[in-house]
Amino acid sequence: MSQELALKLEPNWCTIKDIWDVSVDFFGREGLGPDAAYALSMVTQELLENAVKYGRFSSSDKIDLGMRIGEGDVTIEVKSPVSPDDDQLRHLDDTIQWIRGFQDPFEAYVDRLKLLSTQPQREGGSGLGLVRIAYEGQAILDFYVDESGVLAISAVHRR
Amino acid sequence: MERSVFTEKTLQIEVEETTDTVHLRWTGRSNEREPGRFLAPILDRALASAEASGKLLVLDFRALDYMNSSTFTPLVRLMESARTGLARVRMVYRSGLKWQQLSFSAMKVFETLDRRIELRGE
Repeated sequence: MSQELALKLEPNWCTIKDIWDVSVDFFGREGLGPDAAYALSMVTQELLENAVKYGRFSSSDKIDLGMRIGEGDVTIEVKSPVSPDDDQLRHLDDTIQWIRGFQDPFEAYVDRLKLLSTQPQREGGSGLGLVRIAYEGQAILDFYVDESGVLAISAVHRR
Repeated sequence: MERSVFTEKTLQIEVEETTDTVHLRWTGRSNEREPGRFLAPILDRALASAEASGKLLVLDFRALDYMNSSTFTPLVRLMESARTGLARVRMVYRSGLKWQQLSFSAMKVFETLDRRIELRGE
C-alpha cells in the first residue's frame, strides 16, 4: 500500500519555500523517521527550486508536485513546462549522466564543491542541488519531457 | 566585544567579535533564491577582519535548521579564499544531525594539514 500527496503550486519562490513544512509533515506522518523526512524534504525543495528557476511558465501554468511513499521506496516527482530545445535540458541530462558516472555520489558532491569554490558567484546552473539529491538524499534521478513540453524529473529513494 | 545581527527573512547571522575570535552564529533557514547577495558581503568582511587581526574566524552552524544548495557556493568560496590566504577558519556543525554531518563532512576537503582551516563536528 502506498501513500501519496499531489499538489499544484504557483511557480514562485515564496510558495515553494512554504512546502518545506508540508513535506516534513507528510513524510513524518507516514512513518518515516526524522532524518529521512528531512532528507526527502530537502530533495523536494531542491527539485522545486530548479523548477522555478528553469521552468518556462505561462500565466496559467503551475508546478505539479507528487510525493509517493511505496513499500520499498519513496518517489518525489516535479513537473514544469520547459522549452524542448532548451540548453537547460542538455545541462540537466549532462549533470545526471555525470553523477551516474561516480560509484559513490559523495565523490561527485566533493568534486562539485571544489569546482564551485573557484568559480565566481552566479545564480543557478551549478548542478549542486542535483548532486546533493543523489548524495544527501540517497536518491536516483531521472527525467523525461512529454509531447506537451512538460519536464518531469523524479528522485527515487530506496527505503 | 562587538556584536551585530544580520537578518534576511528566515535566516539570521549574529556576528560577535571578541579578543580572540570573529564568531558568526547562523540560525534559521537559508532558502533564498540568491543567498550569496546577503551572505557574501558578511562573509567577506568577517574573513578580512579575521585575517587583519589574526583572530580565528568561527562559522557556527549548529543552530541552523536548513540551507539550500545555493548557500554552499559563498561558503566554499570563503574556504577557498581562506586556503590561499592567512586567516584561521573553523566551521562548527552538529555531528548528531544527519544532514549537517553529511553536508559539512564533505567540506573537509577544504581543511588544511596544519588545521588552519578546519571543520569540527560537535
